[in-house]
Amino acid sequence: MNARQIARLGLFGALWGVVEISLGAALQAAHVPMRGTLLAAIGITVALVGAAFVPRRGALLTIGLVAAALRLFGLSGPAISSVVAIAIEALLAEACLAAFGYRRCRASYVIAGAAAVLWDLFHPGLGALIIGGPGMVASFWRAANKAAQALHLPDSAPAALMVTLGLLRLAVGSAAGWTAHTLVQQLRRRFALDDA
Amino acid sequence: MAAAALARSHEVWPAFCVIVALSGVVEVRSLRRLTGRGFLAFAVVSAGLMALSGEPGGWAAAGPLVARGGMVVVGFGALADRASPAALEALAGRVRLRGFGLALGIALNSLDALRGTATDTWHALRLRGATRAGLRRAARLYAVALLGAVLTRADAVAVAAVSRGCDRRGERIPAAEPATVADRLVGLLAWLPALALLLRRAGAF
Repeated sequence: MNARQIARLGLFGALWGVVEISLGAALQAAHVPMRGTLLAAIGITVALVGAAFVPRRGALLTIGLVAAALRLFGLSGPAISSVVAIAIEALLAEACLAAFGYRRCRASYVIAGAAAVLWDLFHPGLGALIIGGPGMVASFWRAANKAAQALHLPDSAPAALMVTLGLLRLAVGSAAGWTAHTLVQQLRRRFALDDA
Repeated sequence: MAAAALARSHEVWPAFCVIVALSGVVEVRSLRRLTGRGFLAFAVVSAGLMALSGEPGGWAAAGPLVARGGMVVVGFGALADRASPAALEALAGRVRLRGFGLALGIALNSLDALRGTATDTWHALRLRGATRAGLRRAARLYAVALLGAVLTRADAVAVAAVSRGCDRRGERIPAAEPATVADRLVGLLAWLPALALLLRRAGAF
């Protein structure tokens, strides 16, 4: 890997980190709903664009790990949940790109974006599993079913809600992947950039 | 984290003791997080909620919750306090992620500049009337301008890195700072609760 590729990985990782730190703080202060999904979508778009200009195996994962490390060494103290989420999102997107043999087709970008952003749905579950133990996720599910009964909703309401939220995240992630591919094409045209 | 997630209720406290002991050996300062305001607030709120919930055992049922939280806080603290960029580079090198240390160094040095670029780009586009063309078009123009600026900056950083000899192969990674005798002593003391618990389970007393 040459210095140009490493510089690109570092700077795109830094950009993802800036998004997480600056925009994340602003969204949290404004109590914006689904801010994790929004941050994941923007972050994975940045990472996919960056990885497109460093055609090497593990480029996207490196960008994600740099962003996660910036959260780890951040001035505001390590944010455990964010660090883990960024690393897992990058890993999922890298795995999707690898499954497509690192071909730069739009489909691979869309699937990588969708997989990364979908993780946002399961991340709180991982947190509950870690803090509450194996029984906690089942307890949440029972509580959701009781809440549905109390609200006179059908028994399938919690599952339907989960599916809806999952589809929403898949749509946002797919849009992020699609946007990343479009941006890569525009950047190549406008700046006559090559692959370093 | 795996220990916190996988431990069953009767295994939580032994696992907590082992994690605290191991974290104490890796990085003694991480144990301070157990007396931090954030963790104490988590413990008090958990105990209060469990007491109000009317669960059998009352507030004492919050113990396993607090222990799991403690495992995560201490274990992650040990990683955050002990891990340096050089250590992370060594770890990344072992999993074939070459150049991670230099990329992280570049990222750390570029954070403020990137933040400034992001703000300046937005103001420049606004002054040129890009926002009047609709939010979607403005967002696209902003993304292209910002990502283009990042790619251009990467070229400049690469030239600077090469001129400083940062791309030399086989460069040795600096060794981690050695632990002092006091560090090791505290680390050994941190093992005592785990040892006591193991001996108790084995029926020694």
